[in-house]
Amino acid sequence: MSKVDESRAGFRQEFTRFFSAQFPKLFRYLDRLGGDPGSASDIAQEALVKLYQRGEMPDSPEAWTVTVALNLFRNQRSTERRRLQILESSSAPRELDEATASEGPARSAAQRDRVRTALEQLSERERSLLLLRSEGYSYQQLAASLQIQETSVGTLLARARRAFIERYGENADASG
Amino acid sequence: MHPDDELLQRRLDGELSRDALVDVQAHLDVCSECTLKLERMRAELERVETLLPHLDHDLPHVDPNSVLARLHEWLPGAAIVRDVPARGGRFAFVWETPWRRWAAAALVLVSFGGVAYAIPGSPLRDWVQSAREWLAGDDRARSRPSEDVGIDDSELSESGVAATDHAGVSALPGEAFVIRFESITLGSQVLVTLTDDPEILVQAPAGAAGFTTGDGRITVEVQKPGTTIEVFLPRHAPRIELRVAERIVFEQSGTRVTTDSSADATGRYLLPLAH
Repeated sequence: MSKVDESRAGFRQEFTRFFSAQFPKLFRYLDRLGGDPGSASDIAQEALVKLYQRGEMPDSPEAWTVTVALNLFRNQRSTERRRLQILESSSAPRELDEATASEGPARSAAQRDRVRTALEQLSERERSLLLLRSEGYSYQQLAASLQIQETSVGTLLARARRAFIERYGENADASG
Repeated sequence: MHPDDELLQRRLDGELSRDALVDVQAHLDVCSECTLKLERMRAELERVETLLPHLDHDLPHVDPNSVLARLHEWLPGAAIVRDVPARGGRFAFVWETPWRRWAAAALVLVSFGGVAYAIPGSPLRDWVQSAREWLAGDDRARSRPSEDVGIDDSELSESGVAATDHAGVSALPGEAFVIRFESITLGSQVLVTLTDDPEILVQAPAGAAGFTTGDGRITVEVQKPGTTIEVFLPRHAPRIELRVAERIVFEQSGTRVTTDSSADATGRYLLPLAH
């Protein structure tokens, strides 16, 4: 095997390990961000394929991949004019009858709706901060992915969490 | 002094250095106000982590080896195609075949039509032949020069890069970035493409331009007449300027672009550098 082939085989091995570790995090981030699991899977794969096509790992492959994925997500929204799924947002939440047999699915759909609405009421940066930190990305990776000062990440994250809780609470009050 | 939200949040998220952690903890040990504040932040974090999973769908099973196998099957020219150097270094650029190029090439081929192709002496014949080779993916263009394709050493420039290759630099855009062009030669121009990649890439045929990098900037010294410098800009970068001397010839701010040139059919901008 030539040195080039050895190098490429080594990179492929490194890439597949990275793919296995990162795909679940990317998928969950994009799924939570957009509410569309099919699209989330496609974008996550496309971002990782772009990394493979790069030919070598960048300095921070996690941040690099998140940046690409977020750009692809934004492109998809702006070009296709995709409306984010807000489940049953135009109708009032159903009143749960205590005698109803299966309370679980109805309650979780309403809960998902409230969480989605609260998330949508944040700025794009706050949403991504919240969701990416939930996936375990470091402050350094968050700063690189979202192009913000690393020394501000903590403050912005605190605000995002607080805003999300407040919006969620307001939405819960409004729905009775 | 009470630690601010930044420090408390970092304490909560485990992002403090050891020394900073000692200092913050020492303060918390004697300050009930800050301790309460930290506990409130902790409750918010836990609440967020309890609520977000309500949005989740099942994780699909995706095998990376299957993804790569399909990639190689459907786009043979899309295998490892580019090597980006460590800072400031040269690199051997090889062709890539993104979907957009396939579509653009097909559109142009159809537009020209059979009549133009049939005209004796038409340059279209040579063009079509070149496009056919490019679309098929020339094996020689795919690999590094001087390795496993038997390129004659006499074809290498002094830098060791094959004459058909490009050289350039890449950088992350940060919050603001300037690309400056100097020593403009006759007929030189810049071709700007917006991409989904996170990095700025500036390249030119090997030997046609020199590059220097600094904090938030790349300087390009054009060295040969008629050079086309390719600039690839991240589509969502906060702010990037292209300057000739102090004149701004292209400005990108997020998705908004300001320039005198119009985008072509493939969304790229061709900017003449000389007045």
